[in-house]
Amino acid sequence: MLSTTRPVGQFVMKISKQCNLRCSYCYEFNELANKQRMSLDLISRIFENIARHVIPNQYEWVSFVWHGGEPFLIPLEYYDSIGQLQRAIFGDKVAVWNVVQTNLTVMTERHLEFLKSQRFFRSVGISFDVVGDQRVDIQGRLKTDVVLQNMEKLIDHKIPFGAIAVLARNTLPHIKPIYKFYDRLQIASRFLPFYMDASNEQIARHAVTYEEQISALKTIFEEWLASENATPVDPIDEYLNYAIAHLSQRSPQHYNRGSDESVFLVNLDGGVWGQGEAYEPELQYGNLATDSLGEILGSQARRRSNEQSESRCEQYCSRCPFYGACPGFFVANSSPQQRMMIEKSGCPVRDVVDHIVRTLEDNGLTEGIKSRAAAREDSPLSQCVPF
Amino acid sequence: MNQELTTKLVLASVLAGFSTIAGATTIAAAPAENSTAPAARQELVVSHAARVRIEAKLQRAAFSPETLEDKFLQVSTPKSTFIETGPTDAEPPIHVPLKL
Repeated sequence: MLSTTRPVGQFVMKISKQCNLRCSYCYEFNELANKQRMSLDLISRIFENIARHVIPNQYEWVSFVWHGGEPFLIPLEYYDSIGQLQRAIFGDKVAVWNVVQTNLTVMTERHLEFLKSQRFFRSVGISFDVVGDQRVDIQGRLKTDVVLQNMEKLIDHKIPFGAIAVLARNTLPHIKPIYKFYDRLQIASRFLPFYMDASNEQIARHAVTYEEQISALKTIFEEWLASENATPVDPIDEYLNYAIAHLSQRSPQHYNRGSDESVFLVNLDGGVWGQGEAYEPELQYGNLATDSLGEILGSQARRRSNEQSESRCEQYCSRCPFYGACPGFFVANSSPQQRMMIEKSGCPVRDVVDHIVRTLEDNGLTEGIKSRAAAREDSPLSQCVPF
Repeated sequence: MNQELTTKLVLASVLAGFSTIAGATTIAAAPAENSTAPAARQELVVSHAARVRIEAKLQRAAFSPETLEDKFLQVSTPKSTFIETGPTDAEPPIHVPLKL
């Protein structure tokens, strides 16, 4: 279990599945023409059911990631109304953040002003592979140029943003130029291996093998290591933390979903899942339209899901040399696709962290780690005996 | 040169670079590496910026009272499910969602 101060909660809100793009690897692909959106009444009930738990339990903050579909197909006035609901329901009793994840194809002057004002969205994430043929509209036209123009607008307006690029069959040959693109602009990025699917056809067309994924992540690490900007890129930054924790021999720390889970997906109808298990019917925790967050956290489905998560960590993490430095987050929260990969080939995090550790050692970057570890052991604090 | 023009030039030059780079970089479907096997010594280019960032992580790992919660939060929640970056503290944080 992670040591805790005050709990936090993050809710990925599927405000609408409607999208103006038709990326064939999208796990929402079958829903992208669905124009339904969360009603303000539903959103109000969701907020109230979250507030009933987070306020008395003194959460430090809650955040809402407005997700789709494409969230900017929703009028900006709608988000103003949602902000009013948040102020009415959460007030100043808990800090609330709003974040948007967009394909960046819709960016008018009004959007720019809205984002710059930060009156609703405090942070922006874009989904953009830079190269490849996936970001096409309904007519099949590639939207790369539009996204680049809109990226220029964000930069010109000094609106900070991060980016996600999907690591799939079509982007695999281009990972170096993709990383270099974001690195050169000093935009933090995340390479997200294709991990959730809407059909078997998607898997056959877009999934990368274990070996390909490992090789790609190692390559990104080496690109980062050589870069004069060294702009952080995930999951490499995360895995580098694990490698350093391992080399520093920090006291082991383990993620336990039952007590530590803080990220939840909220579907169009209020249905709630843990991340990685979205839309698996038997693992739906509950519904925030009707249930309080407290009831959802204590639900049978969540208990069942947590038992499966613990079982996976026991099976795959307990004998891993990096367990403790790596809290086991990947295995604990794995999607069905990731579970199949783990069962067949093992945990990819282990291989990449192993590579990072060896690279740090081979390049003389561990001396500081050893001297600091020694200094820590000599520190008077290390002599303290816990009660 | 104004900021807007600079930005456009950077993007244009990067994009132009792609027309020659795209497709030229191929990642082989490499066989699985056996992490227990003796590894060939691998010396890579390590930039000054990467060394600085690694050093900063070392400092935190060695001396700060960072808990696993801190570490976990860096990768799993807004200070955390999001990564924060920027070459200097003066720059605003940039957030990248973890998944989905």
